[in-house]
Amino acid sequence: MLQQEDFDRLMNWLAADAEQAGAIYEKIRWRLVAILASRGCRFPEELADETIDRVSRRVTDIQETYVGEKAIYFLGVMNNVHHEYLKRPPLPVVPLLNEGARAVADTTEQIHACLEKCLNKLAPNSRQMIEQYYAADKQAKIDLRKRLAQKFGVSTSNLRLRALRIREKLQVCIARCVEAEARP
Amino acid sequence: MPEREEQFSDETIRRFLLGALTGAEQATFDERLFADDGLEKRVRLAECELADDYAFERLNAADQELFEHNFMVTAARHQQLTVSEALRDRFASETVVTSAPSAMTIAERLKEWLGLGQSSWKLALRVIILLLLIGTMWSVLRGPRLGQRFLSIRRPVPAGTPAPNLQMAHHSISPEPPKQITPPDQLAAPVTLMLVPQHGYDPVHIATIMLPDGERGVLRLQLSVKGTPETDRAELLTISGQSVLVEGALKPLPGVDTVSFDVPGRFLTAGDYQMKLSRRTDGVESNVVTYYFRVQ
Repeated sequence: MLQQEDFDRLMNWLAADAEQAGAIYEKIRWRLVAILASRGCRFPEELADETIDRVSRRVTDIQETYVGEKAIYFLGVMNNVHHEYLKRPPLPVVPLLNEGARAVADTTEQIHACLEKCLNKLAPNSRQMIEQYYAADKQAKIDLRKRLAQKFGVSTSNLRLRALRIREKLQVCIARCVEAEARP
Repeated sequence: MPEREEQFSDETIRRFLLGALTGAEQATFDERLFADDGLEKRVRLAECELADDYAFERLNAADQELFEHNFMVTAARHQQLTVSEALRDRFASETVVTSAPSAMTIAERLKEWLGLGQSSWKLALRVIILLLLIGTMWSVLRGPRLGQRFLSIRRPVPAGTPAPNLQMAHHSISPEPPKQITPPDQLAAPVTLMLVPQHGYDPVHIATIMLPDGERGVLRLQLSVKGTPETDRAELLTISGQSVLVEGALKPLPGVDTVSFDVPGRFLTAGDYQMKLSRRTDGVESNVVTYYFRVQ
């Protein structure tokens, strides 16, 4: 079990500024989860947390001598955690997935409501772009996206990037909105 | 480091997310992901796109299976997919009208509407109503002005039909919407503002109009393009330069010196705006003409 002081030491090792350390921590965790999922792990979040716990416990030993990009150190530890995971007998995956799916199903209505709120927060031009980009999906996608790109004065690849960035912003906004609404 | 980032194609990133890289590819990708912020950004965007593709049923069967088996393994991704589905539901309902052709043929629709097979007096009544409607339509279309108006509301923007009750002036206001035939369940009749090109922003002598009423209100900008070269882009911006709406080429009808640009009221707040018509030559966009107006 990770002790608070180990975690504090880890954050301090990542960066002296607490906010910056938090951002680095989130970034590292996201990368660990993405890689473990890509390697076919059924529980990437658990293994990512296990990796972080192990690094936290080792910070005292390495902080004076470690040289190089700190994030890379996590990758090495993650490889060990992953090897151990592969040696474990396979566990049934269904319960965890169902649990996750159920939790998300509970928030589906909230997400629809939050989507409206977040769409209203977008700048008019962004809203127009995302509405038309997704509307184009239902019809002759390629032609419509070409026309849409022309209309916004950008290339089709640029249109895709801009639309996806707006989509990502929406995702963040919706996550915050759902979290805020879940608070008592 | 963009040149290193370019080594991974979008397709490779997608295969990473689907858990379909080979062992060697995987090791290289993992290391790079830890060292390259640009790659991380691309992977995050690709995650959104992949969830969208699944929600919109654009994945092939093999990728669909990989998505369900290898991608949907975190709570964050479950939520991502729910957002994609919400976007699909939200915008699918908006496109139903234009994208869902009915399976019925016109003859079948007419047959059903006329109620063939029903009792004869009902049939006779419906035929009379149909004839009356045809007669009314004919008389409307025969009148040139009314006919032109009738056609103008069915033609999507860009439209170049002049409204007869407009005044061309630096700050002309048409306080009443032009009397047009507008389906009651659609947007309200537009409030029209006639604008002429300006050489610069003059906040004292600026065309002014009241904010169109509510969500259904529409402001129709009637832009004089007399003597203006052809343009291929129209953009409405706030006076500070924030883009509000963009449209492709606005082309006037033959013999007409104006083009129109409809702005839904929900995009407008009180303030000054600029309307720019521009064109692209050899990849370079240049402004051709600018109009200014104020919304109160």
